Amino acid sequence: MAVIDADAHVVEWERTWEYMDEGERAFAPHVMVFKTRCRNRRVKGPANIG
Amino acid sequence: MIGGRVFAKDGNIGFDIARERREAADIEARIAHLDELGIDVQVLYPSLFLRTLTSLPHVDAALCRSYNRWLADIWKVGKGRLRWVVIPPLHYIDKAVEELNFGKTNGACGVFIRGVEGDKLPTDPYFFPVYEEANRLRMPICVHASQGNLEMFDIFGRGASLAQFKFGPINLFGSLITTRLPQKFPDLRWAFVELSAEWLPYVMNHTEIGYRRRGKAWSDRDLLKDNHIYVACQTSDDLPYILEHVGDGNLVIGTDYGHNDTASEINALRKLKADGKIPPASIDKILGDNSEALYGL
Repeated sequence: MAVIDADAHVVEWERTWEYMDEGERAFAPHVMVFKTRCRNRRVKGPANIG
Repeated sequence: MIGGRVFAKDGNIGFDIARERREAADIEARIAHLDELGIDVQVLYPSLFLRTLTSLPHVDAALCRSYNRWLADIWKVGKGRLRWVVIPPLHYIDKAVEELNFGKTNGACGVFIRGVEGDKLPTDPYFFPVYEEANRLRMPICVHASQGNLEMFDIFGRGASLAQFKFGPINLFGSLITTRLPQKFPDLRWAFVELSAEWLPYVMNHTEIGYRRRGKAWSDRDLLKDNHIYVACQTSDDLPYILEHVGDGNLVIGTDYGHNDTASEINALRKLKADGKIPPASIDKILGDNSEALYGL
């Protein structure tokens, strides 16, 4: 009997977005590094993409 | 940051697993780790995509497409041991169907969907073409703990993570039963993943009351089997109690590899065996047979 892990994950990183077409590259997530612990948040101002 | 939103990457990352393994940057190292853990095959779910990332359809489509090609490349190197669920760009049903076909020919063994998708429940007829294609391709619809609505993500993110990620999929389970959607697609399999399984008796009791009030027949024991629904359990579940309600033929188990949250247990598969809380035949089904049937492995 095969042992199957029915719920595993991959964590997306820069390589995940390298498959975008040239015209889509601007939509790739921008990596930001915070000095303090990062929380989900909405950045004020216009959206940076799209 | 995507579309002016910052999504924290390290919120539930399992730093006990080396970066190159959790990010599948070194696939040989990841497979060597599977050998150490006694796991033959992993089914890979995303991390960032567990919440919807943007309400902009064209951006979502570009992100999904790139992710799916990345996973296809992981599968190609993974010697058949790293299977995955394809993420359909659901703003465009035609593109979603295309992605299912791309996934099917590139190692995907399921279709990822969230408990809510934008302003719709996945029981909405809008999604039926996706289910028809999944049915034709014999790929299950896999509902993972997730949030597909940015407003709900923000509101419920202020409290416990229960409603932010878990309650949408659990509500969808009840909605599948009450709308009889599985009967519309009788060969389609459904999975509910990373929600634990102890909610099943609660939701089944809730649904049963409604059924009996309308004079309809109800069977706890056959509910999952009759609707081709599989549920991922955890070793922290009261498994004898769960089995008493739903039997052992539709439960699977996972490690939540790469994450660090209430569902993460890197040795879950070994622990299930070692605990001996349920009969060995049931353990074998949960560890292997049921997942093979669910994912068509």
